[in-house]
This record gives sequence, structure tokens and C-alpha cells, in this order.
Amino acid sequence: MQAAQVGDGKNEGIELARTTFIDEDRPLAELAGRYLKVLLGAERHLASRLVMEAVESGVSVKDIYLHVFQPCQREIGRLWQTNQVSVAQEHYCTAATQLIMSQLYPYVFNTEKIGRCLVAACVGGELHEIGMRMVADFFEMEGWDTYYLGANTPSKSILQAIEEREAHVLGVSATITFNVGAVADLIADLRTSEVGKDVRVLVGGRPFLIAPNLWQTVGADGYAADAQQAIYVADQILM
Amino acid sequence: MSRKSVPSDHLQTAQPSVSPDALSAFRDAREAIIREVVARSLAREEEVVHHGDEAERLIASGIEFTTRMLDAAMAVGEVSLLEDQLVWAMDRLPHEQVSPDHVLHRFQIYAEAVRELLPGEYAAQVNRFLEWMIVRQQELVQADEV
Repeated sequence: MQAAQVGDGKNEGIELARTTFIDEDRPLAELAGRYLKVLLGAERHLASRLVMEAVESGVSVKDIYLHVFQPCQREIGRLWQTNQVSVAQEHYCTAATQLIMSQLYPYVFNTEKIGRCLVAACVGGELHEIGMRMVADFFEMEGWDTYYLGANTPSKSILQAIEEREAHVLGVSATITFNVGAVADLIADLRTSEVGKDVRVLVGGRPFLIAPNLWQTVGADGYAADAQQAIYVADQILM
Repeated sequence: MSRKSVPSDHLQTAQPSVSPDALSAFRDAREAIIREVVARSLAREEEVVHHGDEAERLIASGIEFTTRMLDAAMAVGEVSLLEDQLVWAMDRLPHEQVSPDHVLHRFQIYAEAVRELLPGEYAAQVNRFLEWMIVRQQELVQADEV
């Protein structure tokens, strides 16, 4: 099996968070800007309507995830980092986006199954779950059966889920740097277990973006920077 | 996207590494190190007086966070993870009334405590990471002043 990584593999330098993630040159930037504005105005019903109208007019759910939800979540994080929004606003916006993701599930869960299963989780102690949830939804849209366990999942429960679901791939995420050790421990436990011998492991989250070889250090089979890349990498590591 | 970049002259140098024994010694001494760094940081009254009754809790929380990040970076041999955190802190901590200068001083205190509380061979390994953090923090402080 060949290990896989998507992205240019370079650390492009560290940058201070001075400018917005809502980049007007990116697809759906106008929608993303409007979506963020209504969320920050505490009008989640309007945010929901914007997204549902876009999907009904032909915008794909994947594009909504990649070009609206993802940059808006990053932007909300940047606004908190630079003290322009409160923790409460950040939590409100994240919760609202998770609600709207659920409203899109009639579009997510309507694909023909391809006979592959993903177990997806955030390791114990990791509370940032929305990225992993987006990854699981992308796999679902590609016809995978997905078993999404959410934030802060004990390793024992993840291993149990892999066994019960007969998973082909484990997707695991850490956002906070000090949770990388938990990812390494989980993968080590998986490798020494009977159930883990045939399972491939895909990792993601900020530490893996920052340190291009970290996915290998923790014993994973591949790394992806976002949900779209995760699909490609999963296909590669199952070859 | 145009974002302000702060280049580092020493990011490209060889990654420091910590032996399993040194990492284990660091973890064993973790609570004592944190206690010592917090006490010495609080002793610099001019840097904490503005926190009022919250000073000890805030400093302890910051040193605890630094310790967890340092441990993680040493465990996987990746200073780039620390770099990311230092840059993040430059943006965030001033809003918590913690200045980049104070962060720098606390890293220096941390290195002192490690030198005093760990056997010399292990302290030297751990302090390669801390010295890296100190140099990088100095660069960030200088860049921020320009």
C-alpha cells in the first residue's frame, strides 16, 4: 500500500491573522459573505434560507460545504482570535451551521451505496468536530456508509465502532495541537488490535496542515486538508 | 489572500529532538515545573498586577497550555507546531491583557525552571525546544514593533 497525501506538502510560512478568509476571488464568495453576515447578526433562519435557496437553484451541497461553511467557520475563528467576536458568537455560528448542515441531509443521504464504510471521529479531548462532520458527509455523498461519532470520543469506543461496522477507513481529526498524541495513541492501539489490521487511517486537522509529515509520524496512512481531498486520499489508500 | 507574514531565519534548521527518557523525565517533573514557573511569573508584579485577583488563575492556565503544547511538539519532534501557536498567541493574547513581551519572559523563566528541575542531560534536550521558542518569540515581538 502506498501512503498518500494531497496538497503541496510545503509549510508555506506562518501568517498572522490579519485578513479575511472570505476571499472574493473564490467561488460562492458573495454567498459566503452574506451567510456570515446574517449569522453574526444572530439570524440563523436567514442563513438557513440563503443556503436552502442556493441548493434549490442548483448549487451543489459539496460546494456549499467547501465554499460557504468552511471559509465562514475559519473566518469566525479568526474573528474570535482577533477579539472581534465573542466566544458566545462563535459558538452560536458553529451551532447554526451544524443545524443547517442537518437541514441539507435529504440531499446528503440520497446516493447509491458503494459497499465501503467510514468510521469518523475526533479523539478524546478534541471538541472541534465540524470539520470531521463535513468529511463524513462528503463520504456519505460519495456512496459510503458513514458512522460519525462526533467530538471527544474515547479510543475504546472508536475501536469498537470499527469492529461493529467492519469499517474500511477510520477518519480521525485533531484541531488542538496537544491532541496529536491522542491520535498517535489511537492509531497505535488500532495497529495492535485484531480488528485494525485491515483498516486504513486518514487524519486531518490543523496540526497536520502545519506539519506536512506529521501524519506519517503518528502512523496514519494518509492526510487530507479538506473533505474533498479526503475522498481522493481514501480511494488512494484503499488501492 | 494577502496576509502579513513574519519570516523566520531558523525554521529551516534541523529539528531538535528529545529522547524518550528526557520526555519521560519532563512529564514526571511537569507539575513541579508548572508550579515554579507560575510562582516566578507572579513574582514579576509589574507584569501581572493588572490581572488583579485573576492573575494566578490566568498565569497557571497559560503555563499549563504552554506545557501541553511543548510536550506535544517534543513527542513528535515538530517545532512547526510551536511556531503556529506562537503566531496564534501574538494575535490572541493581547486581548487577554497578556503582552508578547510577558510571554517571552515566561518562556525564559520556563527554561530556567527546566534547567533547575531536570537532570542536566534531559534539561538540555528540553531546552533546545524552549530556546527555539524564545528566539522565535523575540523575532515576533520585534516584527510586531515595526
